[in-house]
Amino acid sequence: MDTVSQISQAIDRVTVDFFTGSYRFSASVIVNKYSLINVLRDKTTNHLNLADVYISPIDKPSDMIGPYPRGAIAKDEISFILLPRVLERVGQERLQNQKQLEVPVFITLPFFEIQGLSQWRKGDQDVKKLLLTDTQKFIPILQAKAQHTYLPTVNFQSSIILVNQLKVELLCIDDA
Amino acid sequence: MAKVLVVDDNQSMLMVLRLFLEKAGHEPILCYDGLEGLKQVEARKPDLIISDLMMPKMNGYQFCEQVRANPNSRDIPIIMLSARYQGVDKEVALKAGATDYLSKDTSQTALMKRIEELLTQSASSNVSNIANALIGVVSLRGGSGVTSLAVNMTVALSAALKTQAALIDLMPLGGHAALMLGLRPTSYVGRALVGLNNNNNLEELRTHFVAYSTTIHLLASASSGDAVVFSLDPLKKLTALLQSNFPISLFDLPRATLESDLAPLLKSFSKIVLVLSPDIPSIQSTFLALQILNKQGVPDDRIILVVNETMPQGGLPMETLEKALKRPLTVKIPFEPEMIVAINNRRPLLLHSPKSGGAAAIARLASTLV
Repeated sequence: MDTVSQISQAIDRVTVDFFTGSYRFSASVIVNKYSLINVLRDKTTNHLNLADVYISPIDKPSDMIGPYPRGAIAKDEISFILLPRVLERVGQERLQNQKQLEVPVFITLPFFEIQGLSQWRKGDQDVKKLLLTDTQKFIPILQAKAQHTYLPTVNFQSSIILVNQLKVELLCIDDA
Repeated sequence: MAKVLVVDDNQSMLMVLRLFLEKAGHEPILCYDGLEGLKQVEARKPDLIISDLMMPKMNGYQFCEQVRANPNSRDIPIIMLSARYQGVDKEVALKAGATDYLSKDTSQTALMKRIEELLTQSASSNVSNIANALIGVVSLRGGSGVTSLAVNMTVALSAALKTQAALIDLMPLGGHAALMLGLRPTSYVGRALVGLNNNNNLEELRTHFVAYSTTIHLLASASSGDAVVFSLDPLKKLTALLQSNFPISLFDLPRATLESDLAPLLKSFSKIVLVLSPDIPSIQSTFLALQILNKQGVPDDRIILVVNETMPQGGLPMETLEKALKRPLTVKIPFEPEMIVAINNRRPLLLHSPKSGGAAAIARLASTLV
C-alpha cells in the first residue's frame, strides 16, 4: 500500500530524525537516488548532507528551531536515527532474508538507553560480533524504544532505529 | 464537494494531495506556507485544512494556533500531516489546535478515510444550528436525481439534529420518495391539501403522513388515480403548518413549481436546493430556474446550486458550469455507484452505504443549509 510520503517523496532525499545526547535534528538527507542505508555506509565521506534542518533541544523535543535550508552532520556524532516507516520496511525485508532469530537487546549510549529486538544467529556465543561488523556502522534495532537516561519522559519509538556502533557503551542480549 | 486547504512547503506533497482530493471530488486549495494559508482561510473559508508541521516562515503548530484564534475559522477541522511522528509531536499538535495528527507514512486510503470522517462530523455539527427550516429541492432538468437527494438530505438532517423531519413529495402523481424509502403510504399529498382547505389542523394533517422511522415522516405522492393540479393557497397553509411544527421540512418539488402559478410558493422556503447535472441542457435549465427564482424575489443567499453526477463519466467540469452560469456552485455530489443499489434495496444511501463518498457529500450538502 503506497503511503502519502512514498508517492510524493523526491527520490533524492529522505526525511528522518537524528539524535545526539543533546539534540534531535529533523532533516532531509540528500541521498541522490541511493538508499539511506547505502549513504550511511559510504566510506568516502564522514558526513551527511542535509536540507531543511529543524533543531530541537533534547529536553524539549517538540520545539523547533529553524528551518535551515542546508546543513551537514558528522556520521560519528549521531547516536541513533529514527527511520520513517517507508524506510523501515526496506530494512525489515533485508533483515528477514538473513533467517536469524530476533532477540531482545538492551543498549546504553551516552544519555540514551535503547530497548528492542536485534538479529542474532542461534547458538552464537559472541555478543561483541554485533559491534564488530565492518560494513555496518549503524545497527538496526527493531520494535525499538529510546529513552533519555536523565529525562525518562523524553522517549521515542519506531519499528526500526539505527544505532551508531561507535556510541554503544554496553550491549546486552537475551537469547535464553 | 468540500474545499480542502493544503499547506505544505513540499511541492511534490502538494501535487499528490491535490490528486487525491480531486479524485475524491473535493476542491483543493494549495499553499506553500502558513502565512499564505492564513490568507486563504480568510478568503476561501475551507471546510477542512491539511497542514504540514515543518514549514518555513510559520510552522504547523503556529499555523494551527492562528487558525484557532480566528472566530471565523476556529471550528474548521485541521489534520496535521508530518514526517516527524512521535507521541510528543502529536501531543503538542493537538494542544495547538489540530483535530488530528497523522504521519506522512499514512496510506492514501487511511488519509482519505480520515478526511471524509472529519468532513462528515463537521457537517453534522454545523447542521445542528438549523431550526424550523423549509427546504425545497428542485430542478428544471429531468433525471437530475432530485428525489434521491431530497430523501437522503432528510435522513442527514434528521440524524444530525436528532429531531423530527418531514419529507413532502409534491409530485401530483407518481413521485418516487415512498418507493425509495420502501414505504406503502395509505394517503397522499393531494388528500392532505384537500383536508387543509377544510380546516387547518395539524392532527388531521398528520394522518396523511407515513412514518419511515420515529423521526422521519413522509407525505407521499399519489401512486395511482388522476393527476391533481395543486393550488397555491393550500400549499401555503401546508408550508406554514409544517414550519410551525417540524424543525425540518424538506420538499421534493416538481419542475411545475417553477413553471406554474405555484412559483410564488418558492419565496416561502428558507433554502432552495437547485439541482443540475453536469451537462449542457442542464446549464440552460438552471439558467432559466435562476431567472424564475429571481423574479419571485428569492434572495441569492437562499439558493444552493448543487451538481449531481448521475453518470460515472463525461460530465462537464465544475469550472465550465460556473463560467456558464456566472455564479459559484455550492456542492458537487460525485457519481456514487452505490446509489442505484440503495434505491433498489429501497433504502436511503445514507443508511445503506453511510461511508460512501456520495453519502459523505450529501451530508456536507446538508451542512451548507445552515
